[in-house]
Amino acid sequence: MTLPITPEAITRVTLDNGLTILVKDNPSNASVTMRGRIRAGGLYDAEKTLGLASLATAALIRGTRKRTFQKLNAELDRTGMSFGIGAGMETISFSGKCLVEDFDRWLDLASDVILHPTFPRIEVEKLRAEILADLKEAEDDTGHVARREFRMLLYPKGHPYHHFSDGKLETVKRLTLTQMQDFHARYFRPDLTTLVVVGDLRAPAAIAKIERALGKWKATGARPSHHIPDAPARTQIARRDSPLAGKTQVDLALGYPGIRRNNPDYYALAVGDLIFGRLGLYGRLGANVRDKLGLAYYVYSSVDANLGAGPWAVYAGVNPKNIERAIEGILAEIQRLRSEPVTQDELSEAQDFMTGSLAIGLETNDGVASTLSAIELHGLGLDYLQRYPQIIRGITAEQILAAAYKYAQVDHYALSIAGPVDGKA
Amino acid sequence: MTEIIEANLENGLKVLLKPVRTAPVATFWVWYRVGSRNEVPGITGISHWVEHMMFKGTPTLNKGEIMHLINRNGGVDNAFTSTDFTAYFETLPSDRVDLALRIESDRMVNALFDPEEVASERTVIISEREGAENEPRFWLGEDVQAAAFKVHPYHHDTIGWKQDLQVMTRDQLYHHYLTYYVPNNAIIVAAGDFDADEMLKKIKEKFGAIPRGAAPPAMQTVEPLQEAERRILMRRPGPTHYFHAAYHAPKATDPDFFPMFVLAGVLDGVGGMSFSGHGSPGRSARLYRALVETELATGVDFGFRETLDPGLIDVTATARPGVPLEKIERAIFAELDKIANKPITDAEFANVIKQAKVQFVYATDGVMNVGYILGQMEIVASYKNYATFLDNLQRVTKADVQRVAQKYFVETNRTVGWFIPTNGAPRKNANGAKGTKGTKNAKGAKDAKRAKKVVRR
Repeated sequence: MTLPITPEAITRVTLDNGLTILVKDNPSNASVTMRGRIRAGGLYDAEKTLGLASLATAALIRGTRKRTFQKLNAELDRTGMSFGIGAGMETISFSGKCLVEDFDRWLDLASDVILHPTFPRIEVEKLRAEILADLKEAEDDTGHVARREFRMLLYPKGHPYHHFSDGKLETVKRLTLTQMQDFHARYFRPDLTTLVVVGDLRAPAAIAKIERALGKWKATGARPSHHIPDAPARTQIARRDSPLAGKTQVDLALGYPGIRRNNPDYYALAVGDLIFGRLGLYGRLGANVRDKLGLAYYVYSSVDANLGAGPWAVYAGVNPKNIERAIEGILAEIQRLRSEPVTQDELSEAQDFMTGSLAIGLETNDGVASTLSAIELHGLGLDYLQRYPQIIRGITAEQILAAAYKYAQVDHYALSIAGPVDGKA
Repeated sequence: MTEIIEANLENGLKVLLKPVRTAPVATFWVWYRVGSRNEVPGITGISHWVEHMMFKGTPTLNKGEIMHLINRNGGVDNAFTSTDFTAYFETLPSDRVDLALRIESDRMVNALFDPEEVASERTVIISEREGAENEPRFWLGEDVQAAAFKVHPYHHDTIGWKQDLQVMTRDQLYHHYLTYYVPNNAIIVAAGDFDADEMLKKIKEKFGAIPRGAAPPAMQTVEPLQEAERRILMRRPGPTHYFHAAYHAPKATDPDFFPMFVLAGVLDGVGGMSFSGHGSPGRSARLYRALVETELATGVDFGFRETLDPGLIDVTATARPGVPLEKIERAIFAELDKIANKPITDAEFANVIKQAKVQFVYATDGVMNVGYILGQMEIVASYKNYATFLDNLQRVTKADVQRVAQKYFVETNRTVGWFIPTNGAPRKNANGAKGTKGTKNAKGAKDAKRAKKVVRR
């Protein structure tokens, strides 16, 4: 197939101010999709300022040099454009979509938000109250509580992944406008930013427009270092049950600190994980824990390999009377994965899927933009998709076994359960 | 965009084809005209359960084999059940699309419904319901819906009542399948990188020999006119107060549909029309300004969707902590009165038209979106609405919008639900740590709403 992402198909430039731009011209739809990423985020929050990156970033649209929040909202609704921005732990992401004829307007709005936020007190306080209400609502969400406590078991205090980037009620309450302004001034830098544009645009014209909108953006001071430490290896089982009233089902998370995206074991673990808990309807986990044992509506695994080593974990929704049997079923599958090689049939099916389904993921502007953004973040190179089939086909059952053996244990895992449980565990 | 080609096979199977030759991908859908609206008490949830059984094997495709074949060929597949339809699709590299025809023609007639598979799926289906039960808004929504419809099957959620799921039999499931899975009750929609003539020829080869079935029983129940406001007061554990007002709504083929669509856009922005789409943020629309900007609610949503029979408009809001539901209710009713009492502005009307146009462009990015939008429109009205939708919107007048507001937003047409948390703040766990998965806004709530009646396998 003709890949939409190759060194020839993509125009990639870095402006004088350090901003990197990638453009893919796609004339088949009259829309344009934007994906931006800034290498900064919640990792810089201190224990007392948890949620700062998140609140400061969400506050950007609440008022800018040229636009009040209300004016910005009216502009989006008048044009049908979208613009969103939010901070994760490792990166700040912004994205948007518009008709090709509105691209200039979108850039004007985006640059106004990113470069010139004013943090108006009244609007920021409204936003803070909304976030606090959402935090409170999340405390009643079994899936959320299970994952949150899971991270606390998995990563030590002080590690960025010990918390979600959204912060805690008691810290978000106390964040100041000055802290938000400082965060913006320090971390919103063109030399940390990448912007991907995919749509019915010619690259030179698109780049000229972006340069007009964002070329004057300047980085000041030294580039902040971006480091997420490794989590210590697990040496025992840690389990936490979080009781929540009025619930019918528990959500659980069981797993390990995983690996970074640039770890050489990544591909073996990714293919192994696909077989373990993703392929088709949740892979082996789905076939056994869901289908054969009938213990869960959903049960799947995920390798959260980012700039830092996010969790490699199993997530499931289980009836409270089946919790222990479901855990046994999950552990049995983990044991199988780390003690026996996957079959050739399983391996080739996973490889066929990973290589064959590329076309579907690249069918829309959104799909191309997301893929391109990830390629850039992890420095995979614009020839990545051309190399990808060979990388995947090269993975062997022995490599998967070795990776599973290395990163998963049946006697050293973290387990978090939230819902109708008694909380004694 | 190229034209949509319609063909009708002798066995009653309708075929809609739309070549889209921008990427080497094709999507193939079969839509059955059966959903929870075809269910009677005792077998609620049966359509959705039948959908699950369609992955459990035929004499030539063992259980799980469909999935393996799709994986091997680099495709994706899924199925959905709603009030009005059950739909199946496969999206594949275009040179592999024959596989979809093989799978769908096979399970249209040959699904086994092995009793052991029915038994193990029962726990999965009940778990699916129990997962939804963890969400306070599910309980409130289910009760409001049940109160709003006394006799029409829109009374129950697509997932079905738990008591029915516990006792339904294999024979009931199989009977439901035999009754509704006939070519004369189905629509094929294919979109993507193929030649229409060739595709039609292949479809005839695979589906043409399937015999026409008896016409499925018509669903004749009509909901009697509501004579009085109905109220639900629900006290359960939960994190905050929730508000839900439901109004009987015009169906997709009602002349009031388009004025109501414009009205919905004025109140809350135009929702996403595509399979994967996100609507306009709607933060300059009336409800956000009246509820969220004023700090009464953290989110508000005006849910109106295309249905075969008259469905519901669901106006929902999440209260800010400490704000009594009386205030939320008063503010929402005031907005509905306002739109009934005074014409919308030209600027508001123009916003809705522009947002709808943009959403249409977004909805044609990718063949999966095209397959979805065509099938869904054909089920509730006609795929031909695809071409005329924007014209129909533009023909709406401001007076039409005011008229439908006056007609539908009356006390006797509404069911009001209040969710009052019984446990105050939720219990803290051992170390009292907190966090959130993300800031929800009115927009997120809107997308969740649109997907509500669609239950994923």
